[in-house]
Order: sequence, then structure tokens, then C-alpha cells
Amino acid sequence: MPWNIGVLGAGPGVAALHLPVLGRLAELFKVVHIADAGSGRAQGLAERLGARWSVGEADLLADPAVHLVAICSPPAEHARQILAAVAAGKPAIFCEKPLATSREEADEVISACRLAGTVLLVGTNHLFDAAWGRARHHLVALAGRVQAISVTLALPPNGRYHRLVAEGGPFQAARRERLDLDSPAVAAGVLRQLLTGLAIHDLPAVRDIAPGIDEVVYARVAPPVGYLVGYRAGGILVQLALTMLPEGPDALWRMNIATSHDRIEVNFPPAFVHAGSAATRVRSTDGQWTEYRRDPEDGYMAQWRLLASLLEGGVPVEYDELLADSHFAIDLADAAAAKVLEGVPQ
Amino acid sequence: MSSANPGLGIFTVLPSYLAAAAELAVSAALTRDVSGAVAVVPGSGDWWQGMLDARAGGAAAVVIADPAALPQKGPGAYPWPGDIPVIVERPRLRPDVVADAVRAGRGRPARIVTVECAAPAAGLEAVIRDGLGWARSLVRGPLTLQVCSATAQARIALLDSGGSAGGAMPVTLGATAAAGLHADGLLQVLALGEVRTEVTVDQRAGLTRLETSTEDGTLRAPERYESSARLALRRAIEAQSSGQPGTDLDELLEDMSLTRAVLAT
Repeated sequence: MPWNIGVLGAGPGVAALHLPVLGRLAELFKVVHIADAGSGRAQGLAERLGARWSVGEADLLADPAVHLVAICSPPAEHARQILAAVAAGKPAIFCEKPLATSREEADEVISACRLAGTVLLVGTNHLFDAAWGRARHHLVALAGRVQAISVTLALPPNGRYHRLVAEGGPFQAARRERLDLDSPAVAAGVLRQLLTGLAIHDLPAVRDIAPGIDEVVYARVAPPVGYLVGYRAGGILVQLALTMLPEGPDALWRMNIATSHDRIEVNFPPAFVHAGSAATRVRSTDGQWTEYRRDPEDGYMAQWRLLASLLEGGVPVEYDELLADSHFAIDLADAAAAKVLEGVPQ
Repeated sequence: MSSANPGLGIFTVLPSYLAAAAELAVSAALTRDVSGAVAVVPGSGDWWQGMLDARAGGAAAVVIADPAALPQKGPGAYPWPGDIPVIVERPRLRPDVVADAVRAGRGRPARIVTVECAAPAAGLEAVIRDGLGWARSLVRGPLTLQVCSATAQARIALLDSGGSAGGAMPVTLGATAAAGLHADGLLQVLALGEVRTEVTVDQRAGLTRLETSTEDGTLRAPERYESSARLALRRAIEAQSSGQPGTDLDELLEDMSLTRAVLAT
């Protein structure tokens, strides 16, 4: 029997991503309830699935048919909704990234889930991509010492990919008013938001091979919307770059890992669409390039399959790792924001 | 038949330039007399002195072949008069590939340029220098180092350019020393914007790849089959003929100066 899911949130991530993914995994999961925060979108999504719909989270959490709560609401709601789901006695939670927006929140939700034995998975899909697993294996097997990591993103508007996996938009949020990025306080806030909202895709993988943040070397918001962050983690230097473009080529989402022996390049597919796993290639110092085969399933599918394994008790929930990943992202975002504010009178 | 013009004299002992001269049978001819010739100065060792010696010997133009680090007694002690053309052969920064990249960029400025270099320690400085040269070419202006940090085997830097739209265009550099004793390395440059340019130069793999991506797809520029030496020689002959001194040396010195600043951290 599939696990019954209640989805909190009815935005583009649900319509264009999670519902289609769960449709692909019908033998494992069934959506039985969708709740929105008053947008009215839940009804339309739920009716097509024969699921219940509601406004707010109370009805969904009180629904005895809901076994697993998928939290797909805005990030500021995540921690509170996890605590509410645990309090409602729900045995399993899928939480879209980020888990929490502060260290305190992260501590509280992990503590609550651990105490209740709640199964918890955070949707950092790149971490579950088979290609990342192979890259990680390559690093371990060849024991090359990691010297530097870069994660480079150049992203066109999401609408281009939404249109390929959903109908009935617009899914794109209305254009916000132009932000005054010359203001250090505004820039620091935007940077923090981008790191916890977008860089978070890859930060657990980065932490896996370069734990800690010793010093932020540079941190900057890059107009029109983007960031440049460089930091040192022990003997490893890390560079993060993002530019969000109003138009342009397909998404570039690349992680490079330079070791003493080789250089590993992982190219993730665009968000929302299903193009299989990332593409990984390795360049050794003798100039040989090796391309790994791609897996037909992407990280989105893999993360839900892992959640099914967690529910079946096949693998343990790594509460400590989830907490450490969350702390790491928050610490980096705070440190980068502080770098932007360096020297600015508060 | 009247005797054909033998072409401009080429003064060199480097095999790649002997071959290049053979491939320019109409416009070039090997000579044992540097006077009035294009003198090819090997880029290893004290090439600065070699360049000055060639000029003193009456060379009409100089080619510096794949220069390594700037010798200690360089422009500070012995300035270059600048009265004859100097062409610099930089196999990782070929002017024809640079021109292809700039042309394919359609004049759309990048938002961010990233440069990543990996090479054995012996060759890393030259790869960084050419990586910075690529960035300078793609942003079409000089770069200023903002901040740099290094570990024993790697370094990262943030640089700025004035940018064509007047705002500072950021450039990041990441460089790592890899195992090996050879000097060849890997250089990857990305200019991220509405038009994306990706340059990969991997001398060890015999690879120079330029790809330009737009919403319509990715165009890979045709491979440049002309040897780097022949291109340099051809440019030297053209410069000598036109009397234009060119900007190669100034650009090389600018890239070297910036590289030294990065490495000094």
C-alpha cells in the first residue's frame, strides 16, 4: 500500500514538481490532502487527484488519513509546520529546503523529531542524485585530497521549465520591486536569502567534503540578482557563484571539485524538469577525461525513494547530519551577510 | 621567370617556428641574420633580455614564444623602447579564439566571469596569467584585484572590471596545484550572462574548446587548425608590414602584474 501524503503548500514547487514526481511513484505514495494558505490553488490541484483540500494547516494535520506531511510552504513556515506535524502525531515529514531559517529553529525541530521518532527528510535533491553519489565514491576511492570546490549557477527564469512540467500558470511570482542592492543592509538580506534558498541545494554536498567555515574571503550580491561568495574551510577553498538571468541559455548548475589528482565536474540538470541524474566527468592530471554514465532517475525521484526506505525502516534517519547541514547553511549565510556589512555602521 | 620575393626573414631555431616558416613559404623565409628579420625569442629563460638583444641586433619585429615567468631584470631595469612590433605567442590565449569568443558574444556583457585553473606547480603561474588574460578579453577591460586567499595548494580571488555598461563586472579566479612535473594545465573560463561563453583549454589533452550558448542552443566554434606558432609568425609579419606595434606586450605585462599580485597573497 502506498503511503498517504498531505501536502502543505500549493505553489509552483508542488504543482510543477512534487505532484508529477509523486505521480511517477504511485506505487509508493498517494496524495490524499492538499492545503494552501488561502491562495485557492489547493482545491484545483487536489480535485484532479481525488484528494481533499483545505485552507491553513489545521485540517490537514487533523486528517487521520494523512500519514506523511510534505511541507512545501515558504521557508519561514517550515520549522513551525514541522513542530505542528510532530505535535499532531504524524510519523513522517518531508520538508522542502531549507529545514529552518535559524540555528535555534533547527535545534528545536530536530530535537522534536528525534524525541518523537518522526521520520524526516529534507529535499536537498542534489544530495540524492546518483551522480553525486558516484562523484563522492570517486573521491573516497582514489583518496585524492580535495583542494578547492566551486559551485556555479547561471539560471534563466523558472517559468521556462515550469511550462514543460505543468499547465495552468502563471507559476512565476510577480516581479518584485527593484531592490536597492547598493544598501549594504538590503544586499546582506538578499544574500542570506539566496544562500539559504538556492545555494542550499548543494551545501550539504559541499559540507560533506569541506565541513566548516573558517573565513569568508569575499561575499557580494551580484546584480541583477546573484551572489559571489568565497570562503576557506580548513585547507579547502570554496567559491559559490550565482546569476539569475531574465533570459538566456539553459540553466548551468555545476559543481567542480579540484583534488591533488584530478578534477571532478558535476553538471546538474535544470530544476523542475526530469532529465535524469547529473552528468559527471573527471579530468585527471594526465589530460584524460572520463565521463560517467547518467542515471535515468534524478535527485527528485531519488529523494522520495529514500523517504520510502526510511518509512519502511530500511535505513535510519540521520538527525545529526540533518542538523549539521542546517547549521552549516545558516552559518554560511550569516557569515556571508556579515561580510557584506563589514565596516558598515550598524 | 623573375625571382620571387623570398618573404620576410625569420630568425629562429625553435622547431615549431621552423615548421611555421615552412607553412608560410610565400611571406616568410628562414634567415641566419637577425637584422631586418622577425626574431623569435624562446619564452623560457630570460626572454626579456632575448627580446632586447634581438632589437639591438636590428630585428624588424619580435615574437616571444610561449613566455614563462617574467625574468627578474625585466621592464623595470631594462624598459622596452617599443619601436618595433612585439607579438606574444600565448597558446592558451590565442587571439583568433579570443576574437571568435568576443564575436560570438554578440556584444552582450557578462554578469559574472569565472576562471578556474589547475596545473602542476611548475606551470600554474602561466595558466593563471592566461586565465586572467581570458577574463580581461571577455570583459573587454582591465581587471583590479579586490581580495585573494590561499592555502598551500590553492588560491581564490575576486577581481573587478569596469565593465562595458559602467558598473563593476566581477571576475572570480580559482587555481589549484595538481600533481605532476609537466607544465601543462587546465583552464576553464565561463562568462555568464544572457549569452554564455565557455572556454576550455587543456594542453595535456590537446584541447581548445569554445562554446557559446544562448536560448537557441550551444554553438561550438570550429577548431583552429593553424598552429599557434604560425599564427604568431603571421601576425608578426603583418605588424611589421603595417608598422603597428600592437598591444600584445602591454597585455602580457598587465596579466603578469595581476598574476603576481594574486600569487603574492
